[in-house]
Amino acid sequence: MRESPSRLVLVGEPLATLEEFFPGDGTFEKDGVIYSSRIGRVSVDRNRRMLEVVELKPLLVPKPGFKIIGSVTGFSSHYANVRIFYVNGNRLSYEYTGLVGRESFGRSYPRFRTGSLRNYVRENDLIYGEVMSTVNVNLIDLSAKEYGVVKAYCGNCGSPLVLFKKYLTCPSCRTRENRKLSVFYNEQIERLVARV
Amino acid sequence: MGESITLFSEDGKRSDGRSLDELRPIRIKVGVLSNAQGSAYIEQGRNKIIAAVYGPKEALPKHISLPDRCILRCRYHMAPFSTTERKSPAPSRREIELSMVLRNALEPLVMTWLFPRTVIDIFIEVLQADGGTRCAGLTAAVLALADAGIPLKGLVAACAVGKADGKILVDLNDLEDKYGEADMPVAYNPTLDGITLLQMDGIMSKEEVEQALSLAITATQKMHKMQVDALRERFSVQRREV
Repeated sequence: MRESPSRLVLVGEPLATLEEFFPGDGTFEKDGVIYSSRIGRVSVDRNRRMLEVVELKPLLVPKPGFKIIGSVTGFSSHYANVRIFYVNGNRLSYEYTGLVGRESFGRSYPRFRTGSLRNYVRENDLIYGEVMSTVNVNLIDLSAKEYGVVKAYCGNCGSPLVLFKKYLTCPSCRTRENRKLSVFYNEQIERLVARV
Repeated sequence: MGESITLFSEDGKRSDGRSLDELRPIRIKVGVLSNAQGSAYIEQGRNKIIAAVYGPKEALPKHISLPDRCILRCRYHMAPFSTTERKSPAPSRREIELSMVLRNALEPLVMTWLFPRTVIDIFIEVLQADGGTRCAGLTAAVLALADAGIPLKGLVAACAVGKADGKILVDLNDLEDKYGEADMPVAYNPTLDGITLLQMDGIMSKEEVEQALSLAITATQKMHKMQVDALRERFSVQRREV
């Protein structure tokens, strides 16, 4: 049972003792006393006997499980570099970089005959995914059906690609391309952010 | 060298009318800059200092990033108009050194391991200087970090103690700093009961250092209460706005 966040606490404020609770997120322990490590509201999980401080100003740093929106900036050896600019529906003040590799697509890789990563994502594509791991790099998961490319551009002329009979086709030069598409392909970014 | 400076009046008061263990009037305001993630402004006597915090953000270029913790980057700078004579805006040797000293004083406080491969930028801008700017800057920087929502192991307050005419003084002003016999800036964390900054310039006996240190801790505890009040004011105002 989790009690809803209550009173406002400041940094360094003693909250409880180790006999009563375990120190959770936003707290630290010193000499058996649990202190608040940030400004926020105290939240108590009685089942886990955990004391947490829910922050007033969330720090937008990518963590595993966070949903992201970003654009592919380029390729380096076996990975595509992604510039992350939305985390959990919040616009980042400072953009982070992430990577999309073959592990990002789970069991579906290789889905296409050539198996090249360029059949999944390409430069300038807008992607919607989930942070898989933050060890060493921010690795992005695109394996679920809602994750993948939400806006793609033609590799030949740069026009936005349209979905025509299950294929991505360029309306200008009629080029057909492959991508790992999200079910939200061509959705407005504002609506996508609201969905997150 | 023939100039004579009187640091004490006949009734034993200091040049600005304070008693030996009295702090200068302090005014602290948190959240003064809307563009920075966290900010604070402090007026301590005639010192006017603003601190701003940005981050945690991705450490660039990548090779500077650390895999297990974030980097603290601190910049202490005195504005060209902060002193009676124009100061060059270029970072001086003293400013570069103080940036490093302040970073070292803040590092034990910030839970850097929570944000690997990132960097936190701390800017301390002295708008008007009157002695003890490193201590006032540190006090403001800690508040800016707390305002930015960065996890900290308590709040640190800093105050200089020193010796002039054989007497131990608290919170030295520019005159006492220049013409006194010793100067000892101290930063103290009341939560952890630990000192994160201790420097000394001049000569004091062991007993004098002990006395000065105990006075400094008392003074920083008073400043810590002011820090808490400033933060409470900031966040209670924010709550009303919401």
